[in-house]
Amino acid sequence: MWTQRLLYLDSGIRHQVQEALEVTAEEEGLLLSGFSIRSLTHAQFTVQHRAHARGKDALRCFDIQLPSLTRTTCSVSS
Amino acid sequence: MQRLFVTFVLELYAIALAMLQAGGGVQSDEAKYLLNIPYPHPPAVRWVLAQFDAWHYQETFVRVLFATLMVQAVWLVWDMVKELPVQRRYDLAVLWLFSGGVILQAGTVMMAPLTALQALVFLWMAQRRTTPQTIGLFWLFSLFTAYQAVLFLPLAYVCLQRQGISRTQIGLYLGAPIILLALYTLVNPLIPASMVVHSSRDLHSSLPNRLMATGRLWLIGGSVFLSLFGTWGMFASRRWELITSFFLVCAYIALSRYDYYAVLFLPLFVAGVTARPKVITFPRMTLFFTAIVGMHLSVSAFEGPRPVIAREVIRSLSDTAMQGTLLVEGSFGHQWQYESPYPVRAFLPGLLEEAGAVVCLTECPEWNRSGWKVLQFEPEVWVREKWLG
Repeated sequence: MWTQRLLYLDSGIRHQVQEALEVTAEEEGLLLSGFSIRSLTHAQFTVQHRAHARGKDALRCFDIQLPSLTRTTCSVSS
Repeated sequence: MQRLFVTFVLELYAIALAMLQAGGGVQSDEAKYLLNIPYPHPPAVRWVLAQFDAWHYQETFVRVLFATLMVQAVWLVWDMVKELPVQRRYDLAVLWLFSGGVILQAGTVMMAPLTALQALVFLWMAQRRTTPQTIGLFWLFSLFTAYQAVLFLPLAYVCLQRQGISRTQIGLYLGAPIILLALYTLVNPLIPASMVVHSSRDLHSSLPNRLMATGRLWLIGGSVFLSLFGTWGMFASRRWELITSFFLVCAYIALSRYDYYAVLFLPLFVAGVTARPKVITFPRMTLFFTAIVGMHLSVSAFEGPRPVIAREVIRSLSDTAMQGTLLVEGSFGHQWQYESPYPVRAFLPGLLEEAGAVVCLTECPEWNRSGWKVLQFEPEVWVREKWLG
């Protein structure tokens, strides 16, 4: 909860994160429901995507800069 | 022996209801629970279901399990009216089994029937000596099964009150799980985000429309007669906890507009009849007409084959040697994630290299189709020629 406090305290960050997730989902062809936020600051956030499936789920990780929404891949945590 | 035989017959009924639902394939909402997708509800049940999501018979097993819980819950209803003459007990049992809530929801992989069953358990526990800890734990489990359990807070309150504990203790047993649920919600922002999205659904719908829709589900939930008698019994007995939960359910349905919430009325109807058994008038005619309503609901809900697009497409693809990602053009639900053994992603030209098939739920986009062949139309499905042998 501490990691995601900015989502509740800062509406600007909240809108930027929402936009970033929507853009990422659209540009990567992923469903929004698979995203979970691992870390969040004013400058960037790290999000993990789990492609839910029967059996093993595929995992992806993205580092996204705010407010530019520049996106890079990162290593998936265990 | 007789009880065993009745249980067996009820189980056949439950399996039949489960198979009726299975004909429609897995719906998007059901896939969320089968795959443990972390919204819209907390994880207590969906986590358990997902532990065996790789099992081929997961869907069938869960449908039969949920249908069994709904149908065999008639034994709870039977026990709740054990002081009544046997005929009255049979009347209420039949009203339960042929209610719209049971017929239309038993066998679905949804949380609403489980919430209705949990409310029934609170009503059953309120009639007997139960430890407050058990009630508190069950309340915690109910909340972490689905958020709508909070509609039955009055029932949990009375259940604890009847155990003779202080108001402070009641407050702790009820409040602590709610606080835990709130903390869980804050840690999963997708859930409040989806609540905001769903709350803005059908905003244009007028109040009369919402009231009529709620009224319709009120009638369906108890196959008309249990709805009428149960509601009459609630208000005649002036049981504040039943009336309060009833209005909360009405408000919830009026705002959310989902048909599957009709089942939430069912435990309240049973409690209404239990509180005032004489409300059931002309029992033989009532049961006869209830059965007719129940059968009408079954026929209208399950008439004819229903389109099962995701399942049919995946079945067609499974007959090929297809490998790679399945790209879907158009809006698609979680049932595609459930039905597909291939990774599923939205269509993007940049993903074509890793794709083995493309499904077009809307008009197919343009791309270089050399090396691709149409597998079927409606929906249009393209597969790489090399997988067609």
